[in-house]
Amino acid sequence: MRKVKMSMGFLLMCQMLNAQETQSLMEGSGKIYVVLATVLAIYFGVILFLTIIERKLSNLERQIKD
Amino acid sequence: MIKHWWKILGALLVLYAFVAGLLIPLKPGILDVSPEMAKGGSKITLDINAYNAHLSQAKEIGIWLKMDSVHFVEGNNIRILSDNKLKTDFQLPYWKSKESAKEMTLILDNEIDGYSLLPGAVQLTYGAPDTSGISSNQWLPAINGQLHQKEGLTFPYRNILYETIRNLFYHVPLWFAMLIILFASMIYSILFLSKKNQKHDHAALALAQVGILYGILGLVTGAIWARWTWGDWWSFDVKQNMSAVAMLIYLAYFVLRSSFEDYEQEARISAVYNIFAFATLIPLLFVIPRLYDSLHPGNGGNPGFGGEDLDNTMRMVFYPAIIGFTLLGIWLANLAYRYLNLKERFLDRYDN
Repeated sequence: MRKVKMSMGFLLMCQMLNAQETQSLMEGSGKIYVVLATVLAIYFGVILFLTIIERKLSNLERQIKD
Repeated sequence: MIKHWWKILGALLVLYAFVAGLLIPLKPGILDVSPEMAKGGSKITLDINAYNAHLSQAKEIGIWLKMDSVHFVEGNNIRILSDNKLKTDFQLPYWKSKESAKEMTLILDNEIDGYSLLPGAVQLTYGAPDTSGISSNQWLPAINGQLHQKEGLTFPYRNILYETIRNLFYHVPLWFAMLIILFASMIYSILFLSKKNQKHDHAALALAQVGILYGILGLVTGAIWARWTWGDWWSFDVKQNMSAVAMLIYLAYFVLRSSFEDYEQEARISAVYNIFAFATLIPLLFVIPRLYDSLHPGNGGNPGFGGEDLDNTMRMVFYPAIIGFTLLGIWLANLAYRYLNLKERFLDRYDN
């Protein structure tokens, strides 16, 4: 369920990015915000990976304790 | 501390790729001009929009329209409006072909920014002397004076790409790193099949997890880049499609792993699958895209990022970024690997 919500959120984000204002922001300043979006995507991807390991580790710790 | 040197190196190289990749300025260039079309023999005032330029501080500004290597016309009466805007007048020579207009390249030169070009800036359309007219405007055979070179570190200026040329340090190294990491995963799968050591299987799984993370990030960053340069998130470019197929093949690896009850069987069959998955990855990413038309550089007759696009300043950031993202990926895989080992050790002891 959470994954469905996450992908819905991603689609919504894409929709927002299509808006006119965002368009002019991304096209302006030599398109530097496209680079920013790319860097942020990588950042959140790595954080997501760390969060998954973190959660798995916590589960394991709990199971070992029980 | 000493045994963690490669993690520190990886973190530093990624940091370097972010800082240097974002801080080194773009070489000045020409965004656009208006009008984009002019009649031969007419006098036009050209509005020029430059990027990253220092026109109001420059002292020796030269502007030319170039038809070919021996036909130039010089702009006169240059009025500077701001650092990036100026107006100039051109007295254009005649153009006597009614059938075809001629594209002219704009050359903008000054001592601070060096010279920049805008190919196809102005189209010269038909215009011949009327019966009474005496031709006063002539092509110059060459540019009078020397063009300047920009000094200091800059990244190349490319129309349409502009600042997004920096994505070369983030989007491309992810794919390179993914390839190295998935290759390592395949090696561990082979090791597992020959030695039957569970730890090799864990390493293969952990590396494949990071590989798929990098692959998905590569797809996402590519889609973002494509949205504002090629015009759409997904252009059904052959390389985009094939890398998506490659990702699906690897996703099936995880589905396959989770579908077994017996660990021995799971590890053995998924190791074989992993070897084949990597074997399909190479033709999907490097052979098929070269056989068809692709928007990606270096595919389907497109020139690769090389020569003037990947200049020495870009290489200075690009290669460290590849090493940095690879080491960071191995670090992430190392965490996943240690988790898998712990789980195996403790859950076996407590469950049985």
